[in-house]
Amino acid sequence: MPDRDLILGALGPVGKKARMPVAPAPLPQLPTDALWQLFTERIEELGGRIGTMEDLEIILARPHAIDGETATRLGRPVGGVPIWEAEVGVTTADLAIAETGSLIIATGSGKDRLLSLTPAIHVAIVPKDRIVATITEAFSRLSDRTTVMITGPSRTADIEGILVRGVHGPGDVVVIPV
Amino acid sequence: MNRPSVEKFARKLPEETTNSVRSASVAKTGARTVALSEAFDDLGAARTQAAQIKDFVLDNLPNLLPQLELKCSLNGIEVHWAKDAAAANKIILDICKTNAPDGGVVVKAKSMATEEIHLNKYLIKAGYEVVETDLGEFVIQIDNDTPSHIVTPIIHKTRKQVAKSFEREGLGPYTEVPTELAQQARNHLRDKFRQAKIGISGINFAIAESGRLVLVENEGNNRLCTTAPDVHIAIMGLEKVLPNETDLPLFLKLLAGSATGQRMTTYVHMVSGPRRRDEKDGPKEVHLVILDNGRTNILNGPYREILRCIRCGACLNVCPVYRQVSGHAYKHVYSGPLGAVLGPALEGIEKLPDLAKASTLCGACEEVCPVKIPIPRMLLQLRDEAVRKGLIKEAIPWSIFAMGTTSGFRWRMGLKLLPMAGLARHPAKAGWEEFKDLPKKEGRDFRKWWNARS
Amino acid sequence: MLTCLCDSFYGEAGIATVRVLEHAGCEVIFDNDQTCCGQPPFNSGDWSAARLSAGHLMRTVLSHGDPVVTPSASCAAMVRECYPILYSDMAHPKVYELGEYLVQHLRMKSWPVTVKQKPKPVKVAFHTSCHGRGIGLRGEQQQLVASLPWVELVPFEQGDQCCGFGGAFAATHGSISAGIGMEKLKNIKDSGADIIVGGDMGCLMQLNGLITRHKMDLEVRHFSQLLAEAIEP
Repeated sequence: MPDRDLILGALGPVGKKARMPVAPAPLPQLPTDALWQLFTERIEELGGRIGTMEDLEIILARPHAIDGETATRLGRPVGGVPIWEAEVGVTTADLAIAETGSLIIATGSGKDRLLSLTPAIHVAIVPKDRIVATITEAFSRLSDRTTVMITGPSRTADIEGILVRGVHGPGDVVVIPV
Repeated sequence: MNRPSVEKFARKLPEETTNSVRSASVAKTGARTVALSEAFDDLGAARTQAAQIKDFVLDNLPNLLPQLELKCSLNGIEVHWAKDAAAANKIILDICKTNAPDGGVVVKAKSMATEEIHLNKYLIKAGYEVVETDLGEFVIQIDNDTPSHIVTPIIHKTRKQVAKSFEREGLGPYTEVPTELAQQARNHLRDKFRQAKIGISGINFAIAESGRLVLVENEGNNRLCTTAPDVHIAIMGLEKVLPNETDLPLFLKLLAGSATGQRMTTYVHMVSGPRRRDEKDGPKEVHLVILDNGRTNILNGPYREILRCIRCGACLNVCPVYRQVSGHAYKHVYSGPLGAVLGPALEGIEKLPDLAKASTLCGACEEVCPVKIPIPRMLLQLRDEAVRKGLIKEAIPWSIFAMGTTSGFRWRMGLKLLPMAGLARHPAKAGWEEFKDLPKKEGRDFRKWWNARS
Repeated sequence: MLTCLCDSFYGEAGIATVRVLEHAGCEVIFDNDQTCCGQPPFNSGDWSAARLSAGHLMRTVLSHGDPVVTPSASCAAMVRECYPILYSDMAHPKVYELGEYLVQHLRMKSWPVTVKQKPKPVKVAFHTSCHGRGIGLRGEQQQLVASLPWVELVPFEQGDQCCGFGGAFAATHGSISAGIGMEKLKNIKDSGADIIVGGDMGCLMQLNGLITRHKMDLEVRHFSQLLAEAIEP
């Protein structure tokens, strides 16, 4: 018998006590104003930072790669160096989440997943009105494409519990609200 | 007396190891408390909610798994079913052979399911260079060791030990600075990610309604494994399915807080299938292996609730016994209170009969569990099962003790004889006396006092 | 309900418990035929032996119909939470831990001191037992002890952690048990406490065995003994 049938057979019928999950547990309510202020606090706690367009100019002096949508938004040439050689990756985030200092970035037409991952510095451009209070809110607006939620720089505490930033992913995350 | 396996291991453990494990566990338990109290207004309600959703999942697997299969297929993810470790290993090897017939590098993200089926050994034997890419798992691999914690695999190692291993492997100049060690691993593994045709990962959650695989990590190696190679193979225990995407925020917060004391884990990768035509990178094929390997047996037995587990490791960190002995003492890929239940539940109690005894039943594991698994109750049930099946021999003849408790007269006689027991040899007494003084009668006798009064 | 350890080694804690309950206005009944609640065989996995002990307790102590109070959260937990595991249709029996009964049922907020000769000031490290947390105690014992004017409760690191006793575990897993216990004693020593007070003689027996073995300058008391000292004889 195929493994699929063996497993589904072994599961037996649907449980008698089957019930639908009840309403979500209460989460802290956040004020809708001052979301960027909260976001800033959160990302700074994690060792990330908020940047300005001037910061961007300085950062872009280093070997960098930009995706098409972001380049258009910034009025810059698309491309740059190959992604694996780039020290800086510039992307546009779909959403910022205040309660955790997170970014939501979905894959899309002409976009590279690795741009926010392999460079040592990740610059994320976020339109100022694309911020939500909670993860719950953000997840109700997810794209159906592969999506990543990024919360601060890459990190590990595997060695003696000591925090190290920038293991495999970027050690520096710069969020620029525009 | 035959010493129980965990005690035997503990006696040989260097103090240095106990100290590393204990201080890291204590710190993580502290961070967990802070993070979760900030994340939830009512943590108890959130944990109850999560437990209820997991119970709903366990009740509805016959619907949820086919739904997941269908939605994954529509997303372009190929779904495979594996009844046991051998079947899962074969499925994965076949995919490797199709896509990389000449062998080569296979990069791996941290996955307890692959530890459970001993996948690395299997693929290496078949000629593949399997490379663990999580920093901790990488150290485990180069040291030919096994993980001693389900979240922080090298909790038992000091930075000096890691430094020596890196020097031995020629990863760079000797350093004990964690940042520099991490940088050496990063540089070494970059080439592996670029060479690999195949990346293998576990998953944390699979969403039935959307066919989306959710992978949670902090380092970025998991995203690399599942993005850079042409083929991504994910393996999941069949209990990992969740009904809806709206269930995710609760579970992600509970997992981040419970596992590492974070508000949110750095990367939550939600895989909706292989690269689409207009996308510039990502794997060209995504496979999902749904693994049983004993889980359907557990589902229909007394340890069903252990399948709620989301592998956060909070019960390990808080466990006074785990803090003394480290994960290796449990002789199973799953260690700590979780492992003491899941190990025998998966493998059969015959293989690990005395593991459930390695607990003071203090209940801390259940108190921190994000899905409220009644671990102490299950440890008691495992002890009962082991005794009923004659798998463990008790040093104390409890049936004789119990006979003494069924009559007030016999009990009072026994109490009178107690001082003489101090002279007798008994293995339980020896076990106590080796490390601490025996109790002695102090002050007045209660029954004498009571009878004199009335 | 007396506990085995009070019956065998620590009669003073049992005596103190009776005096405390009477001072709180209760009439105390002791069933001379009571034995053990069955926790030792139950925790060891010999559930048929445990049912023998449980059956006897039901026929004696539980059959009187009065509220049952015991100076041990561990014994209370066994009867209240574990008998329903041994007998699946059983309702949770009305058995209470001493501090729980005084505070939650008799609504005592502090302990009425009547003794004329006040004891010397003492720094107390209060060891909360795991079974106490298990049956839902929320600091009732500490509250009463802290209300004694001569007592100063001192906090210590990892206060909630287990003492390492665990019944038979303390003998079968001796080195681990001692390791856990020594960790607790080190944290208590660092707090500057003079004595360790708790509500379960099992924990206190474990800690005392280590204290005397390592000749540490600490002693253990059951909290009922501190309360009893506040009553004029």
